[in-house]
Amino acid sequence: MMLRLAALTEWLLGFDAFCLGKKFLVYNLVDRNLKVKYRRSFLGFFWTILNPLAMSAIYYFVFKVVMRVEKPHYLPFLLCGVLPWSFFAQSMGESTESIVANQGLITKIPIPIHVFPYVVTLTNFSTLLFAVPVIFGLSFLSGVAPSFDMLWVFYFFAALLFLSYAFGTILAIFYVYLRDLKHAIGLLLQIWLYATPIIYDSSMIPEKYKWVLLINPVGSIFEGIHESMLGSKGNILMHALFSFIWCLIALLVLRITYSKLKSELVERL
Amino acid sequence: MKKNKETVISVNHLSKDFNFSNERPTSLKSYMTQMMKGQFSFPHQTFKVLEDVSFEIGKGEFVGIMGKNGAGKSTLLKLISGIYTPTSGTIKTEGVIAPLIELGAGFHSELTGIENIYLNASILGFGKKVTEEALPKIIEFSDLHEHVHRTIKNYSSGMLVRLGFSIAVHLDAPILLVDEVLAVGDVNFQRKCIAKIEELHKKGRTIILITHNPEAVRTHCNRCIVIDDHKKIFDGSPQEGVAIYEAKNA
Repeated sequence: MMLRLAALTEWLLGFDAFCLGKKFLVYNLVDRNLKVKYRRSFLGFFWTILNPLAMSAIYYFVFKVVMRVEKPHYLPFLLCGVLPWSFFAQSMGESTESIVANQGLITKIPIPIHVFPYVVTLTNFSTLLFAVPVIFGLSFLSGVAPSFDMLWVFYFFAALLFLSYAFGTILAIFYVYLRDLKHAIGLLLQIWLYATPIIYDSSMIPEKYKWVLLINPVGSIFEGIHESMLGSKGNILMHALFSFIWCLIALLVLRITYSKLKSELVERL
Repeated sequence: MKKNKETVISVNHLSKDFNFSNERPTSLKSYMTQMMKGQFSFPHQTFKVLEDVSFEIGKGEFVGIMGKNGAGKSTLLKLISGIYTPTSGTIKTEGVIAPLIELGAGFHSELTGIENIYLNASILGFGKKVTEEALPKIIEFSDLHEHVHRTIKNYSSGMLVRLGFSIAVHLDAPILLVDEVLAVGDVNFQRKCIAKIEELHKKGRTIILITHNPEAVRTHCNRCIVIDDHKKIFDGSPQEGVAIYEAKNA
């Protein structure tokens, strides 16, 4: 299903955004990234899940234990937001540097430049998929009742995948021209984290700041994740629609940036 | 030019400019200071690397491209392989091109020889089937024996070159672009490489060799293109071409 959707999007966009014609290349690069990342490390794969889990525990301690925020099921609430966010943040950070980091290849071999941020995003996304049983397991353990709405989570994860790929690639292209981005991206992601309903619920936002949610491309994704996982009141379909629209916008911006800059990019590296 | 053979590469009035704007800002701070000075557009110093180059290469030819350093040979190769886009003019190519501009592109030191074969082949643009078919031949030619199962970080530079070359020549690309990679490795392996390229040529592959070595052009090529001062100045027999190249370099 994902493949069909990707093929349709590629056709609509008019460029091979998802490298569907280069599956072998993509497979080998993802395989390399995964192997290299965890070779010679004792806990290996668990580090990537351990980090967001530890962050969730810290937030829980600070906001629930110390500041006593009134929020039922706060731990599963944190988990199902922090884990996808950590995918998003990590993948954006790594994508930004991916084109410049591979300049040795790009200037010597004819290879599509967007394959590098794409592969970085896929590598990180595979970690998120491995975290899914953890999210579900810990949610049930903390007393969240299972429901069919929970399946919506996969839709929102997919939307997050598209968004982080599109934004990551745009940033990676700009990074070739403007090396400040490397320093700015950390700060940007920090602000973005607090501007997104991850630690707090969107209903806690004061009325006069609600507009932030609307201009935040990932805002409705995280609202959607929370509502589908915790069954809180809301409108999942509306969030799904908003996420979809943001994905389209991001992919469109990517297409414009890419077609404008791809031919001169190689010479600027 | 031989008209009886089908053309696999045709280059028409190809020109390539590079922007060498020294004052091109790469950080926000320098953008700002430029803006303060009232400079909104940045000076574009263009530099012609290739000017109005045209030629056709037929199937099965072995073409040597010669020229001084900085004449534009490597740029020409990068244009043909599709890394750069021409400023004006066109390039048409038929069939897969294996660029041997750099051997072992994308090799990762933490991966084994076999893993690197797959990685390198896919980076060069080949599919799974071709790679799997070529795998035994690649391993045999590279003389790595049981070492292919070890991580390449302990390989000697000679072993790396052997592996890289072996991958590039066994993937059955109809067109090979070779950029002086023959100058690496020990004498024995160099001989083996040249013999391999000869063999591919006999099988009907098209080969374009960029080199400074007159001997290589004289003995192997059946055509020579000389580039000097960013223009094509000669296109014809290797003997004459080498003579012109040597006269220019004298």
